Amino acid sequence: MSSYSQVERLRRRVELYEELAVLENAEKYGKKARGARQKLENARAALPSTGLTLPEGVVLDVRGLCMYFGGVKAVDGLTFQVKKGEIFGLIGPNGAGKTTVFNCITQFYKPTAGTLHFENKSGQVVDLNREKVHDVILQGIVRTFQNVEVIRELSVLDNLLVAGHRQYTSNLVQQALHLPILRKEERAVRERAMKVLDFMGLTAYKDWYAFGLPYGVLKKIEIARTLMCEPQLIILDEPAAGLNDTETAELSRLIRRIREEYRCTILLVEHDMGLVMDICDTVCAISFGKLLAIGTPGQVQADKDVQAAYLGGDDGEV
Amino acid sequence: MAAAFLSTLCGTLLSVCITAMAAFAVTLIFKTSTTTNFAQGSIAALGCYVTAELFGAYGVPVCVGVIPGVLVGVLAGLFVDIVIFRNGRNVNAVGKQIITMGLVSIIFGAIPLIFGNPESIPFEPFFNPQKAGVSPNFIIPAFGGEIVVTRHSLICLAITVVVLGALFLLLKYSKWGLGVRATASNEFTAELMGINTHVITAVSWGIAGALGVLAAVMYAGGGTKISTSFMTTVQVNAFLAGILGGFSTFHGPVIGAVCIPVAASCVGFLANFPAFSGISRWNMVIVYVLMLIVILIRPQGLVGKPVAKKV
Amino acid sequence: MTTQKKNPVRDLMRNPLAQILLFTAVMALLQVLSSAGLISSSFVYALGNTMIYAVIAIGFCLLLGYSGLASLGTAGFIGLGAYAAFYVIQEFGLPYTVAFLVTLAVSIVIGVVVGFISLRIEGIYLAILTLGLAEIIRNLLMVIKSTVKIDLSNVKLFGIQIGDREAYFLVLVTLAVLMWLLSNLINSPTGRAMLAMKNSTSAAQAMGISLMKYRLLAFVISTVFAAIGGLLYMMFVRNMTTATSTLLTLSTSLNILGAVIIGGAKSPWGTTFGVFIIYGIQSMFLSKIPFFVKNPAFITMVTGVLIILVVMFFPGGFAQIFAQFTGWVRTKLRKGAAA
Repeated sequence: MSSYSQVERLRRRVELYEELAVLENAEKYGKKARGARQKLENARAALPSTGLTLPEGVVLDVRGLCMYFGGVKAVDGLTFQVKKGEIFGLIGPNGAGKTTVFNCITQFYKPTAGTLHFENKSGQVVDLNREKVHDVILQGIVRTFQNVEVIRELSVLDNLLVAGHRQYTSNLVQQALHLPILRKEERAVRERAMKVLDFMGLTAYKDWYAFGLPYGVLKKIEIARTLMCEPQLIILDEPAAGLNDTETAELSRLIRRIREEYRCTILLVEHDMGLVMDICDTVCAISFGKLLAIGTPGQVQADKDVQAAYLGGDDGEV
Repeated sequence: MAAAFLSTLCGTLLSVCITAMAAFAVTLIFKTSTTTNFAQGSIAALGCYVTAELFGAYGVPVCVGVIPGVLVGVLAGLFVDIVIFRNGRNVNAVGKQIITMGLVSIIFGAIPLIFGNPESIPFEPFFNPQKAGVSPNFIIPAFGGEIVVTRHSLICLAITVVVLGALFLLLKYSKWGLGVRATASNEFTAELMGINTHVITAVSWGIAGALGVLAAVMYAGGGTKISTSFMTTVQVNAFLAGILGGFSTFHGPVIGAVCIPVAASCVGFLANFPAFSGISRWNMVIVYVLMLIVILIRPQGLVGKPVAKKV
Repeated sequence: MTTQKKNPVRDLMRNPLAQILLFTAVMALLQVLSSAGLISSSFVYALGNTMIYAVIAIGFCLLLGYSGLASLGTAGFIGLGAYAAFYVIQEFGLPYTVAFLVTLAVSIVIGVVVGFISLRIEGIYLAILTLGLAEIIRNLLMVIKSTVKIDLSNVKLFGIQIGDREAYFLVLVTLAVLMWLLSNLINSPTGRAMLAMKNSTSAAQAMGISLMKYRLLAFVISTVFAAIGGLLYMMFVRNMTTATSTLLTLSTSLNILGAVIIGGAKSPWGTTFGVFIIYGIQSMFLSKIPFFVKNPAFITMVTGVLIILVVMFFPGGFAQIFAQFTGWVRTKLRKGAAA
């Protein structure tokens, strides 16, 4: 028996040794890489099967999701599927339970009822409800927060290194003694972070402390962090909130670029209907924790229930 | 046995009063200034020294001398808030804690400078039974035995009930009380709503100082030797009472303050049974461990409401 | 504009290991000078004492400055180390290394317990709860044995008989090694994970940081450092009367907290300096000035005033003062060079 986190750790080890074999000493690290790969294969083989399957092309299956806080039914029997590689928008009036859905998927809340099946990075289908909140990232799910949660006491680069936390394989003793393996690993993760910063156009801010940076930059840092860990599904909680029109237009281009470059699925909650209608392949509208409509932006826009939920829906954009 | 047990309980009356006053003071500061006031005990000691000095050197009876003592406590409290906290540059909660700690050092240094370093400090209860020529104790025959209550603890109980009762009424019905509750809930919003939070916190500090001194005078009147740090145990118990009862309400810490001395005396009473004869040495350890367990089970305190965290 | 010139001396001084070695060399030199009779032995004794508190404080620095967890239980943990030293070395006559391992084991267990508590109770509540724990430990130790005393006459470490001088070096080497381990940890994924946890628990969790793991780790490390401090205290000072000594009371926990805050909570060197201000300055310098010898109460007052002033005007502590000062000097120098 082995756990998924062990497999992930071993996989990182193999990658690190292979990188080092190219960069430094082919013989020494090649041998280590082969040894680690053997261990990885064994661990993979010993991984217990979850026995779960998803229909072809579906990455996340939310079924009958309920989240009750005392008597308040924040999410009430919600069912939807997210297809691989799409940009999926979750919309709804304030207090509809959108963020709660996200918190359930990322296990910040343990759902009252319902299943959350997800196809992880290595193609295995897992039950997210059995994962701990800090292990969700290993499966390939990363999120941003509604009220920007950037680590203010760290530089922008270090913020990205924090996001790469689970990519380090060195243990506490190796860290306390600053052994060469840690330094090599640090260099590898740093390089990856530099690539992400470059992709996001944040290189100029790399050594700045996050404290005091403009809001738009902080939002970008949050998105940059999600790219640090080979994401399979990126969850964006109101990415355009507080941005001006130019920034929003830039954001929609960025989200598309992220999907192309990192070949991942994007799930977002947004109030800016222009953005949602522009970039989403599928839109799901909810109200009071219940599904109103799901379909292409056009279909959802035309839905009577959705219009009613948005107070008549004569918003012009909806 | 029943009478002996009741006597033991009555023996804790004074402790209950002192801890309750200190706990209320600590809570008031905690709610208005979001900090724990480590100088609570030393400000109290300072005020008590003033009363003792007046009694020892000038023969002013404690029931009169307590007034200047309490005034010193009020001034010390006001000083902390008005002079120190308000002039600091963005001092956060931990910073305020450290400041009160620095204040402890200053008061510990100042007391021997002002009052010298006498071996023992003469003191008397509010009502001196020797002068009046009456017994210091009331003895009530009941349950086939005698229940002993000291005169001093009854007087202190009356004072505590009146003072804390008045403060609770003020909190509930006065404008100041509303201001305190608003400030405790959110200082910034309270200020926006037109509440002068500066006055609110300053008055709270003043009241906390006064309560501390009153408690110290009651404690010393009960026969405890006065020293610079004689209120430290009371202060520690007041903090613990605060989290035992829960800082989210004002009455919670007072309930906690009743529980701790009562629990201690109950554990101590067990020593009367042969099976537990050695227990009295472990008295405080047992009480603290019990308290720890209660807090772990109910982190919000005995009467507090759990606060949900928003992600 | 700012062309960074290669400056080998400055680069070396930025290396933590070099800093620690320099510190160790200076402290060792002071001891040698005192042996030669050039410095009073009481000065070096006070220095050794201060370094013991520094060991405790740098561990606390990781807890408060990096993990954002406040504890007032430090004194209790010191007591554990001190009593472990007493029982292992004095009562059972076992070597120092055994005492060290026992201290380590006991403090790890307690650290884990407090770490678990910290998952349930946070902030100021946690601080008061740890204060309660420290009171439990203090009362417990007091009941078990009221006075502990160690006789070093037959204690050897690596075949060397331990005396006053050896004990000083033991303290110094322990401080240096722990400082090195700590500064490594701070500059590694662990340190960043702790800072992330301090700033935003939700972001940390979303990034794959286990709150349980790092809270436990932070408490274990700070508890171990405090207990080692207690162990060193018993090796250096050698006796303690628990009932009268303030070592195991709230005041020690507060002083350590104060040292970390006025030193600059995120800087181990700043913390060491903070310890020097709180513990060192009075025993090493003020107690030499006749005025303070006559009025010892003034010393406590001066420390108190100093603490309040630093917190009031420099929330970043001495680390901030130092950074501002060097920045000021640099601008002056640059202006001088330009003119």
